[in-house]
Amino acid sequence: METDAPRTTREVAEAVLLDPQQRNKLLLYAGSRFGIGNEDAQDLLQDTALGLLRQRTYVESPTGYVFAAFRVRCCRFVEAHRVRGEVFAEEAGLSETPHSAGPEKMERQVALRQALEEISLSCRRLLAAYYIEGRSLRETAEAMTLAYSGVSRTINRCLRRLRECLN
Amino acid sequence: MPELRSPHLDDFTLLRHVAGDLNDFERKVASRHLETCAACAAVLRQIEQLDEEMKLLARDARGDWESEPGDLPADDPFRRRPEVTNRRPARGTGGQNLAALALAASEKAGALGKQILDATRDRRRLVAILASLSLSDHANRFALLYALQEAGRQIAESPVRTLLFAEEALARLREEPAAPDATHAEIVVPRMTLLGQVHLLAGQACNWTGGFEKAQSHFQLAYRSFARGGGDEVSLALVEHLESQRRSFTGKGHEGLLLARRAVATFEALSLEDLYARAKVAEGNALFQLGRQEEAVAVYRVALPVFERQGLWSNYVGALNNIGASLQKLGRLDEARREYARALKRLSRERHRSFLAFVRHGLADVLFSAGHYREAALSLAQATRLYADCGLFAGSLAASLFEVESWARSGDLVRARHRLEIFRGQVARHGALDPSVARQIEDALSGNHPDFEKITDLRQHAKGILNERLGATPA
Repeated sequence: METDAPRTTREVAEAVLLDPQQRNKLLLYAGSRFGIGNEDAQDLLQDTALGLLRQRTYVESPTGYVFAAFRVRCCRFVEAHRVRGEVFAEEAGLSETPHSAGPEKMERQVALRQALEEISLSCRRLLAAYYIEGRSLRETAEAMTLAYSGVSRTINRCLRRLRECLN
Repeated sequence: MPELRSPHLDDFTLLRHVAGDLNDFERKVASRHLETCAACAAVLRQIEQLDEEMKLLARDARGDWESEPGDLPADDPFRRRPEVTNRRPARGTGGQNLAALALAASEKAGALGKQILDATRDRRRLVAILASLSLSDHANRFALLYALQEAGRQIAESPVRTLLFAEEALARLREEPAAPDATHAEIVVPRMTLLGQVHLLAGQACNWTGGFEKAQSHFQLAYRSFARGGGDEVSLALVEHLESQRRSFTGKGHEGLLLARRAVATFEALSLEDLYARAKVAEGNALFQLGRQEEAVAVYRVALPVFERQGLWSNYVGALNNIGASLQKLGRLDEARREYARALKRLSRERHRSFLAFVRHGLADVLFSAGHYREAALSLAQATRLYADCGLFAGSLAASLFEVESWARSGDLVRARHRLEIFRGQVARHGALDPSVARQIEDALSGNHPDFEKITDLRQHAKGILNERLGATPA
């Protein structure tokens, strides 16, 4: 869809709602980029197309809008349904993310949250102590009775995993 | 002998380096290594990015927004975007049918939406057309939605008429019984979305007419209704944009700035260039109100080319005049002049005559504020003619009176009195002003030491009357 010539709101909405080829492209994107299942992705796609019809007064470039809006909806969906309450849940009550960041930023935050779920509990605690409680990394590692040499391998592996998920 | 190199730095050491957690010795070793090792320097950049993202994530997790000096108060309804109520689409129950219905309804709604908008010029017609709308029909819902949206875009034509439209539409929606969520019409255009749009429009009209308290409550209701209607990002950002303007108008520039930036981020993410530029202007207005003129100018300048590209000349002139006012406050009058000169070159005398008048008027405002009364008077003389050529008599008379004051303040009382005579003739022809106002101005102009303060007061008073009788004049 991104490479197509500019089209009218109706044509774009029609493609998103009814054209299997265009739908599949977007459904695949939702699945591969966000891990969203087919049924949920279809709902998001329908919401996006209806949103386009409702906002047509404001939309100058329907093709660009649909892709951006779908991506934003996918981000929101992942935040609301899969990740909320899981990351850092032990260390602090998790509140919602303000809905103001751009999609790139949101995607990075979503990816980071997912990666945080996958790293070791000790590393997650260490990071929570530093980032949430404001304690020093060194003191925390010591307090957790994790000798530097012992903890470093695990922590280094976790940090590598986290930084790689951002790139 | 090969140079001895310290071992590579591991991720944890680099994170501690970023966190300022290394002791003196460790820090020196790390810094020395980073100077010569490109690989570790590259990893350091990634760790810095990770650190930034982690801080953002942690801020959410703590829910400590109130501790941030840059956030809205804890009990502010706009502190965060409202929780979106998820609406289940008609999955598996005629989804294709729903899609086809929605497309056809949207198409059909265009013409009806225009009829509704036209009817806003005549209250009885408006009431009749709204009463005849069956809101169980998808197309009617779309039509009302589009008419409300378009009315918001055309609000400058008549804020009072726009407010009336919003009030009548609100009354109509209140009569409508709530439909079950599963009906197709309710899925395609939820009643809550229509309600949100009505409150948004009412709030916008109140902003224009100075009813800021009413605007506040409308915007809060709009925010809540949009969230209950499915939480469309564009709609929520539009509310934030207008609430930002309201806060800046009422002296809460800091809060206005936060809301404007939230709206800007959304419009940018959704590639809505026009709305993005408008929200940038709201951001600039907040900065202006905070006295941060330098930043305001930079922000307005982002919006200007978008308005030019899209031919949104009314917004263009508004942003230009804001730049002029900011530059004047910064004491950069020459730069302001250059900005106006560029704009005058871009606007054509044939196609943009009224906008040229507004630009000339804006330039005169800037010159007048800077004490360049003679130049202001010359610019106002041109604005007066341009307004008159377009039939904008309120603008023409307001500019003409401003010209009188400018000549008087420049010391050229003969010309001021001469222009006042012409003004009186115009006023008489249009029956636009009580003759006593012109007489009072003449009295204030008499003698060798005119009462400038009184002339300014009378001019502002006259401008209010002209607005009321002949339509809006430039701000």
